[in-house]
Amino acid sequence: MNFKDYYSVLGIEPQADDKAVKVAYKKLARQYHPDVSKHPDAEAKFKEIGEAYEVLHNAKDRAQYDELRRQHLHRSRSGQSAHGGQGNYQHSDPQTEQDFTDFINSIFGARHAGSEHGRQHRGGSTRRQKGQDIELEFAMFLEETLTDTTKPVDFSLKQQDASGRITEQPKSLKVKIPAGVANGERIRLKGQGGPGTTKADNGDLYLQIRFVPHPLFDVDGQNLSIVVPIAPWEAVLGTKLKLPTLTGQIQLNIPANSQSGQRLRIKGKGLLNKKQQGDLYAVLKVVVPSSSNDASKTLWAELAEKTQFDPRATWSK
Amino acid sequence: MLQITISEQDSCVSSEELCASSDIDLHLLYELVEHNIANPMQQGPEPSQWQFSVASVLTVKKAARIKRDLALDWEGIALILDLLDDRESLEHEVITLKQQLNRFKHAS
Repeated sequence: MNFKDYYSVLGIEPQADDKAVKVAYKKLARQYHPDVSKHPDAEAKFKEIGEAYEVLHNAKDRAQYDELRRQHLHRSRSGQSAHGGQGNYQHSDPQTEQDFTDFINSIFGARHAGSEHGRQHRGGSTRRQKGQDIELEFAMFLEETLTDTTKPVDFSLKQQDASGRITEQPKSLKVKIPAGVANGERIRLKGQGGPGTTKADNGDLYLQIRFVPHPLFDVDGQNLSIVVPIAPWEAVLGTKLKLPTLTGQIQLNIPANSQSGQRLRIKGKGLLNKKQQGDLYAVLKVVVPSSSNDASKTLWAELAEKTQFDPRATWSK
Repeated sequence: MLQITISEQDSCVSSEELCASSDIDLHLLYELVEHNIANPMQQGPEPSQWQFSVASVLTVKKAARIKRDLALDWEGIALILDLLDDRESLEHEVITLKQQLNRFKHAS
């Protein structure tokens, strides 16, 4: 267990007054609040900041902590280490959540370990409390959303053992997702979260649907789009081609004189929602061969000579 | 392995369930509805009859966490939630547009 320098965590001097402690906490809490911050370690950092504040904003706890800190400094200067640490003042790896609980418990007992700054209540409370809710992102392929789909969900639940330590218990479910779910939609699985205390209800499991990016299709609400590369002569003369959709290939007629960027609507080949099926848009992209042989260059030159076409005609107006 | 089928009932949450999930009371829920933080899908005369979307539960839980951790007033929290929603929409739009641009640049 490493020693935690709470002054360092809050970025303040050990002589800082109560107001400075509060200001430092509020600033960092805003910066690292897991619901607001995009920092990859926001949750661990926020927990760390909250625990430091829990101790330092209470005069009695702070005095007790200062005494431990003073002893730790003294020991580390003389080559020993308090609490089995290595005698430095770097706070521990943010991921070692249990480490903080152990450290707090070692100083103040379980009182602070169940503090409101934690994301879940810990400690030895016997209050009747609903179990922990779990929020998970749930990846789905676009093809899977067209029909009812049964998929496994694996996650872990934090549980407190008899000694008060928090352990992770793996849990697996099979969930039948109805056809027509939307990207970002949230689904609640009632009672599949953490166990409640003292006969209280279990928590719930919340799944947020996330579509896996498709190699061909882009999603816009319930509509899909696909870029269709066509040759210049196909754009001018028109053509028929096989277009992939989520349910198989269909024939698409490209009209003569089509333009790059033109969108062709294929009704009812988009995503399903609760009421109807969206459309698929084929976005044409005229591409030219990356290299030409002498014969084709001659043909292009002949075309250029015989065609009265100025693509920049509007510039001269 | 336990198999669960999602039903229509799972798509809405009662006031009582929302309060239990978010650890708030009905009085506070009423306040959150007034601040447009929670929006009932079905609004009866009594808060106890309201029904909410699943997304509302998560929004209320988030609002309650921000209130608890940052000690802001509900107006400030409503503003934060709106801005977070806007940020999420814009991020989603940027990802989609980048993906479309990439396809248009490289598809051949």
